Amino acid sequence: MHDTREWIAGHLPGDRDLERPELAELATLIGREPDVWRRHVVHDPGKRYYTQLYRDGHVDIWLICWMDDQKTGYHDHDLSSGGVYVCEGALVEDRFRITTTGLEHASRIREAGESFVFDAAYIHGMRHAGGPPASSIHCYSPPLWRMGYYEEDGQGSLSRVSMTYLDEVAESA
Amino acid sequence: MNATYDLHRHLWPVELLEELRRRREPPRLDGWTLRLADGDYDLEPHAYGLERCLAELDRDGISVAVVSLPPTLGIDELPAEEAEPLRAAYHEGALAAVAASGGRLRALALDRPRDGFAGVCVAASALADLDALAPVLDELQRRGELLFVHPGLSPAAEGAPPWWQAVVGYTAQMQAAYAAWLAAGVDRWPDLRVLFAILAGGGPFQLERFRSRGFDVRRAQQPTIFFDVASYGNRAIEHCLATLGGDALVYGSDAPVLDPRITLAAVRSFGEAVVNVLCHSNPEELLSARHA
Repeated sequence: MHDTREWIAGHLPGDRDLERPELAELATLIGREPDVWRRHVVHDPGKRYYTQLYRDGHVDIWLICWMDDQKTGYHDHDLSSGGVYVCEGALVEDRFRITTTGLEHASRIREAGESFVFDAAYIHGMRHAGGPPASSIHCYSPPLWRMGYYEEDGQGSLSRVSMTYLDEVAESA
Repeated sequence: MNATYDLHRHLWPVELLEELRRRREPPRLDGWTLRLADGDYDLEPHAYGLERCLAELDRDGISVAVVSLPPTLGIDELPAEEAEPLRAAYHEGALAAVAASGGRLRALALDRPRDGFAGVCVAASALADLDALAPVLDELQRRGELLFVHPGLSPAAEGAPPWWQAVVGYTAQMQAAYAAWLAAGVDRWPDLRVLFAILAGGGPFQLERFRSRGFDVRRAQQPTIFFDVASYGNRAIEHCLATLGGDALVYGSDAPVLDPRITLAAVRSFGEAVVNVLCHSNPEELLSARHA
């Protein structure tokens, strides 16, 4: 069995911030190595579960476990780019699409074995697609610190709420 | 409700005050003027006492303080026969204060691990000679107790403003201690938990520069290395949180030298989750004795 931190440290492309393609490659590399992440998987009907597998000054890596109708809500990653690999199950990625008549929702399914990337400014939401529980690997560089959550402000307007990843971890605890 | 901790408070027990008043050479107490090798300081009477400490903890909503005697008094620089009565007075008084505090205080010893103490506080300069410090570090690691690295005496520059030593001297000492630990300490004592006061004088700010000179900064990201945030505000704390993540920082106030409310307000401005990590879960991790 691999020591998770050590294995990841040994497979990083460099001691520097990573580019988006590198984040996807890293997420894929980890995702295809179940010995690294499988024992950390917890599918909890009560809440979306996530755990930090690795963090250094350039990259941090999370395992997220999804089931039923668990979802993130719309968010951005402030200064961090990201790469995701879906290890098992399926997720739906929601985003805002700007059209001539205003904002619309657009969705696409992300199946097991699929990876995708996004830059820091991109706003999306992730949710379980239904069916069997899902697990995914998420790599961020520079490491995730703040995130912006997009919520209705109580008067029908969209507002951005700045949260740290610690707030998100606390909410899921 | 979770217990909250201040990892960097100073306590001068009455036993120590009496011993300092008996002395004719620095460090000594003359009325409420503290005369140190690097200058004279007017103290607010009783500000360093147990009563004030507990009152401030209550006022600030902090459950437990970890108290130490600042190495800036210069006791380590004295000949052994002069240092010993001062150390003995501190240790005796600190144990009495801990016992009288109803669980609100834990104390750090001065020179070596001692029963009844949570660890040892050393001057930053002590890390320059890890071989000399090795017996203390070996024993701390064996007992699972923490090492608190704090600025020591800093000679004043001629004509310097009163803040010079604290801003220039202390930070330089702490950066050197942090670099010494990364260079040679952390591999030699991999299980010893080390708390650097005042964000190691900005040590984490230098990590990009470490890298520019060939140091693999991933080695700086050790679960055993902690920093207290005393004297710093939102910007420095944000930088360290973003760089190191939430696991490395703890709340420390440096009270009563500094007003604890300023740094505490900065910590609280990050919201409940950050407060919980800096004031509760990281301190408990740091203080949990794990015998090696």
